[in-house]
Amino acid sequence: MSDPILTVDALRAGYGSGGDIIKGAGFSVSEGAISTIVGPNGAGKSTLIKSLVGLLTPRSGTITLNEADVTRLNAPAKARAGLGYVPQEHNVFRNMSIGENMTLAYEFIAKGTKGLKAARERVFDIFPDLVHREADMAGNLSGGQRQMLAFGCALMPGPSLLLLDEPSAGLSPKYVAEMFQAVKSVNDAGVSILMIEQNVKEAMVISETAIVLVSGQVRAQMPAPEFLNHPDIHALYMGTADVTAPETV
Amino acid sequence: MIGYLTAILIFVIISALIGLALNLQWGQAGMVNFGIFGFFAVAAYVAALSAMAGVPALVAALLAVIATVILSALVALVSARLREDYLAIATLAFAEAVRLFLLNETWLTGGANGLPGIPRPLSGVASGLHYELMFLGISVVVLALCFVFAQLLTVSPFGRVLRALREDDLVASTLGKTTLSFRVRAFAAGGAIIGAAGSLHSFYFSYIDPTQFGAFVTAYAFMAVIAGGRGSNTGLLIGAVSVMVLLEGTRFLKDLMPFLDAGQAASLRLILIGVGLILLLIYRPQGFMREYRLQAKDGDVS
Amino acid sequence: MLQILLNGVVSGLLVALPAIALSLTYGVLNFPNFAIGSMITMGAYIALFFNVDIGVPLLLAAGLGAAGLATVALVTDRLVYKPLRNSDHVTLLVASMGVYFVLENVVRFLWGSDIRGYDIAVARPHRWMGMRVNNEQITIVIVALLAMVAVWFILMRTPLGRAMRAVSDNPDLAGVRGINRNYVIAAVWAISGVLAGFAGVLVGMDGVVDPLMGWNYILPVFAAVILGGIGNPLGAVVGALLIGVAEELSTLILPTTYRQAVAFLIIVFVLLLRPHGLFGKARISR
Ligand SMILES: Nc1ncnc2c1ncn2[C@@H]1O[C@H](COP(=O)(O)OP(=O)(O)OP(=O)(O)O)[C@@H](O)[C@H]1O
Ligand SMILES: [Mg+2]
Repeated sequence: MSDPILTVDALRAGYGSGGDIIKGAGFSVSEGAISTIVGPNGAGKSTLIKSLVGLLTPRSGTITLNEADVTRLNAPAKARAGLGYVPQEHNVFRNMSIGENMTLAYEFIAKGTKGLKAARERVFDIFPDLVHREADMAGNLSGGQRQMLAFGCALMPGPSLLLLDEPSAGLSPKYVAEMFQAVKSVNDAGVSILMIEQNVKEAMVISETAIVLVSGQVRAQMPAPEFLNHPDIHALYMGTADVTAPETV
Repeated sequence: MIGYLTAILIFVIISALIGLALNLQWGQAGMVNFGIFGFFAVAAYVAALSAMAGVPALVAALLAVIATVILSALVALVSARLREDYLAIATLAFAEAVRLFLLNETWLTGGANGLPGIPRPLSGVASGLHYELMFLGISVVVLALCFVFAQLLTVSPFGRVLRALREDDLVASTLGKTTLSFRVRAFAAGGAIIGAAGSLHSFYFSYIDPTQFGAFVTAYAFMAVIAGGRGSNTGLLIGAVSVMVLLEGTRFLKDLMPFLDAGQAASLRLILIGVGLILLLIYRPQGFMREYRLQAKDGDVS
Repeated sequence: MLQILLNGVVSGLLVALPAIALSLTYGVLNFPNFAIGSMITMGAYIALFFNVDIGVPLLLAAGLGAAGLATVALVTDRLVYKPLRNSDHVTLLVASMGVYFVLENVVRFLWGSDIRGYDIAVARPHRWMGMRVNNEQITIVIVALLAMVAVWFILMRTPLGRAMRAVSDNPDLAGVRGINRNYVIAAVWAISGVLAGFAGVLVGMDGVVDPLMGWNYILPVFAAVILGGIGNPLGAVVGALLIGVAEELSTLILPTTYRQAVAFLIIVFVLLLRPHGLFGKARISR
């Protein structure tokens, strides 16, 4: 297995003056792989990703991306450092057209519009649904289409690591398959991926590594097949299984 | 000197009353009232006009209170569901409409010239300094009554519901109609206290005009509430006194800087009000009486 | 009738510039800037200072006023709003009330409270299609239209404009897209300072320059923004024009001293009947 592109160590984070939601989480994401975070509702998965992309400032711990310490960078700086992010909800600018959403996703991270056209073509190749609809308002798209647009926007500036928060949530079965197909092909093109998923079975088919997050802590990190064949997934979720979080290196 | 002190104290009491009202409306119920100066003006004018028409002072004051209660309830009925920023705009717009009315209905309000010669209550009983002291006594009683009224509301189940509604929009929206009724009643209760403040103002100065009821009244009130710690009535009293001491202190600026003319000294004071308000928000958003407030409040809301 | 329409459009255009300014800051910073009134006043006075006290031609003085006010807006943001960036919007709107006091009284402190006017030649009104049109009205129309086109261009056709719309639509997502919020906020304050500055000069040309001139515009400006839907600058323009015409029409049935009451009525009716503005979808109740 290759070197980690992202290493998270003893991370603590929370909202406002409230208590910690992420309570000392640690894990790593291998370069070129798809890693998937699973865990019960409210475990803090979205919160974890928000603190990775800089929307929440970590209270302690470190985040290392491409061997650089990015713990304290804000969201724009993290984006420029190569982190792409598709939020779970509110993930497109509803009052802008598809074209504007895509331009905007590129110009401030790549610092200019050189290469914009090529980036656009790359995204259209992956999501043909978006072609010829550039003038449509993003707010008028269906849930599935919006998810595609959000995904496409995150790809525009060519991130080295892409964070997806439940890309398949709320999609019809047809779209779910299409979405995982898209994730796979983006990964094949060389982008490392860390995603949160509730469609565990489907997600594990394309994933290399599973990371189990329970109440703000990483309970286990293991190869995806091992996770699928784990005798007691239920107990893993509840945090009662006897797993001494094996660091898969 | 005693005369000066009495005047200041009466002024502090009137401001404290307005602060007390805002503390109910905003501090407890979360309803931003930027138009306080409009309600204050209505109270002052109703009291003044009734007194000038020969109505006994107590009845005139009662009429003023009734007028502001009704107006407050009406304004709240229209706007209590609005988000804070819209409520601020709506109440400010109301106060500006009041100002327009006062300026233009000269036959009733005297327009920009104001109303001179408002009869002072009990003026036969004492005169000069004695009268001032007696008026101070009356004002203290009024403040005490209003304080007890506000405090009772605060610790009653009614106050608890208000704070719960303020803290939790979700609860507020599920309660729907009930929420509206609670907010309207809280706003009207604040209006009653403003009614008392306006009456005192008219009777004490015996002359009123529209310039006495500007947005600075709102600014004072917000300063007093924020300085005292939002929601605490005792804190409010301390806040009102300290804000007033600060503002009165600025009167001496003129002595320090004799080269300023009267207009410049006046604007410098208003600049200081603005700066004071901003500094409070930045450095003491919880108020000076923070610990005090925690003790003063019942434990269910923190 | 045509005359009334013309006068209405002119007064609507006067409201439009500060309304755009208010709408932009409302959208990006998420609070209503009550200091907009004193920003208008201060812009008028800075220009007056250059025009009357120093003798610079009014056009240049207006430019200097706008630049001066943009600076004032940026300094205010740095000193007041930046430390409060993470506060709730009530704190911010109370703070803007404080800023209102400071700015208006700085004007009084520096320039006194007397009624003043710009150094412009009084010309006889022109006749056009049966209407009387004076030079000031022509200037107001031209300047306001130019400013509106410029704002439209920036908003809809430049990266900065896209960034501004992005931040007001969804600040978190804008950050993830590499947009630096503080940079956008600074740009918005500068633009709104320039708009309020020009508005001040136009208002002063149309009437007089005095410390209350901006406060008197607060109601129509807020009414325009509410009518157009918060954070929708182009809607605010339409709102402003409607208010201008409505105010002018109201003089047919109401004494002219009650013109401002029209704005009050519009605010009440919009909040009651059409709370999202004519075009908006924002959530205003709680
Ligand atoms: N903006 C916020 N402010 C305060 N608390 C929040 C906020 N967002 C989430 N939380 C709290 O953080 C905890 C974790 O939420 P989070 O959204 O990270 O969970 P999750 O694992 O993503 O759940 P789900 O599977 O439902 O998406 C929850 O208790 C939630 O109430
Ligand atoms: Mg989540």
